[in-house]
Amino acid sequence: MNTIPKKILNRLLKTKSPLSDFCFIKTNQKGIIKDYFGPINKYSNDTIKKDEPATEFFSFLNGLYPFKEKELMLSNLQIRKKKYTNVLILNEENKEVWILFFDVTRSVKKYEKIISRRNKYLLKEEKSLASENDNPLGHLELFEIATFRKTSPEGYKPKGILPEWIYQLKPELQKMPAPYKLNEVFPFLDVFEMEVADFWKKNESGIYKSGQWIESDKNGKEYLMKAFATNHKGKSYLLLRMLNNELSGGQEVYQKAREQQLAYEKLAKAENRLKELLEYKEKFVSIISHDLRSPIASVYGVAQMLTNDDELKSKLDDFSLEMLYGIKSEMARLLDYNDKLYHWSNLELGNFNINLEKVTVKKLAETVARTAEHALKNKNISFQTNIPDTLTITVDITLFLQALNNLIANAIKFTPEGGIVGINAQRDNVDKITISVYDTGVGMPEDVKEKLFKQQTTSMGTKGEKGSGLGLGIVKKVIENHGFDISVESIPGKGSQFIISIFEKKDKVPN
Amino acid sequence: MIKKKITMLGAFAVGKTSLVQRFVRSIFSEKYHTTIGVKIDQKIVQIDHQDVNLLLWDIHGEDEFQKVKPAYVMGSAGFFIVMDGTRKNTMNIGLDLLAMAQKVAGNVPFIILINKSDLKNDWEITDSDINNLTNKGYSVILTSAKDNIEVEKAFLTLAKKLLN
Repeated sequence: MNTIPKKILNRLLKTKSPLSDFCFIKTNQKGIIKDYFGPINKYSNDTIKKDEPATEFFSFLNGLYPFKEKELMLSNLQIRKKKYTNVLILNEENKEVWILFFDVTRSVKKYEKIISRRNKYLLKEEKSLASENDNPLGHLELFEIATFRKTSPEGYKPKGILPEWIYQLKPELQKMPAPYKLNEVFPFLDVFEMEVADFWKKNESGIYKSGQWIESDKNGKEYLMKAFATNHKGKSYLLLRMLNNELSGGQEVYQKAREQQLAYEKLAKAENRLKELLEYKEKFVSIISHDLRSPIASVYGVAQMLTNDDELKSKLDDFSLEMLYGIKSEMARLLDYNDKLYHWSNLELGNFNINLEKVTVKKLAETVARTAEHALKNKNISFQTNIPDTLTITVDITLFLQALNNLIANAIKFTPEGGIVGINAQRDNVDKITISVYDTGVGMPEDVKEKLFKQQTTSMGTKGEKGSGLGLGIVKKVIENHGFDISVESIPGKGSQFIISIFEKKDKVPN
Repeated sequence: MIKKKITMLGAFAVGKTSLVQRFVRSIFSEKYHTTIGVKIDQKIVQIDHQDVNLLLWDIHGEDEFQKVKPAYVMGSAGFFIVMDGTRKNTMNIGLDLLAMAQKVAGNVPFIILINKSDLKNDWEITDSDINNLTNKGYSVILTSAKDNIEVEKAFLTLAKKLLN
């Protein structure tokens, strides 16, 4: 290889290109390769040969021979696929031409993305410049915003590049001559224009926003949109923005709130329907039990009369007599059941008035004892009371006695023969009185106690007594309607105690 | 071609969007999807051998969250007041919107649509309520977007009224 002339070497050292992988070819003034150096073949598709025209291997040299300039620099030349080089051509007049190659592929790759982006931008810029429609508000199309300047009462001129979506949604815009009659394309703008008329007219600063609206393209794809009005250097602008890619938090909130409202309306409707059905049921029970009372009471009266007729009884054999007593007993039970049903349904319907009166607890207990006298005697149960003589409460006497009678009847039912039932009462403090109805009966397990007032419960008494299951329901209703509380304590095998807590309110006490 | 703006007004979830979708695209979705803002659709119909482009403005339902902007009704050639037969309160909201729309759009034709006739057994709006509306001279059509009952008739009836 010939040595590189000092002049060329000095120039080579001044170059800013990387010297790694440096290589060159040397041609005469006619372009015939006379020598080469370094990995020159990576820049050519064919193997470099001496005495061949350089243009055969490097097409970029076509038209350059004979060289007129002393020096020529070609930067970032893509000489092969994915191979970039800087080329420095040095012409020694009347001697050789030195063509030096510097590999810059790595640095070009590094900036390829940036260059590509810049090129795209430049292309758009070129298009924009070509349309002479620069957008003075900037490149808003990059944010999916279409910009229009209002040029007449009905006309809008597009500014800058319009985003793709607007042509997908309204392809007719491509054929429409500017200025566009946008109201015809976007009917929503009819309303928006009215809203912003003053804003534009007065050339106010800031941005005026429309509400959201939705339009569909010919394929049914929906576009969520918003319009904005603004003024810039004395001109009025309309911006249309597509919001499809934006999360609409408001939409979710409205959706959930309205779904909840619909669910609430459905529940309220179902509740009303249930209330109507329940009321219908109570009315039905009330009417039936009222109408049944007379015939049942008549049969019971006849049975009672017959069992009191000694002459008749003397003529009956034992079986007939037993049947007669059976009829009387069952009719008495049926009458009691029917009465409870009637009271219960009326309590549920609210068909009663509470007439408050002052009464001593002792007097109430005596009345209850008289009512229960027969049942107590029947099971040889003793009735005890521990009540201060002057302890007075204010209640509806009829209703409250009904509650106490039910509690005592219940106590007798579940107390074995020879046991004790009773009523205790005491003033706990100035405002509170407690009345307890207790027994030494069979008591009840925890699960029975828990659902005692919640649902209709019934079971046989200690002597096979049957019940309606309504008694405690009536008690609870009466106590609650007085504004009192009732609770129960019970120990299986030892007995139960129903505790009525009476809270005295001065305004409830009659004069 | 003649263009006519028709506005759909009513409480939320009465079926305004479903009625438009049934009329324009012959589709129905069971899922409730609340409308935010305004949804604009178009359909060309032929009335007395004349093509008419109906611009259907489906406006969000009125409730405590969103009140209907009277401006949306401006320029309407006619409007529908949509009620949900299963929810009586939608009748009161509909009648309030009717008053607003008449104030804004003037004396233009309108029809009251009582929607969800497929759920007639669950209706809270009674025959007596409907009679009260018709006695006031209002046109009332019972529709079902779900079962496509009287939907086409409702739109075409209003379109005819717009041209007369």
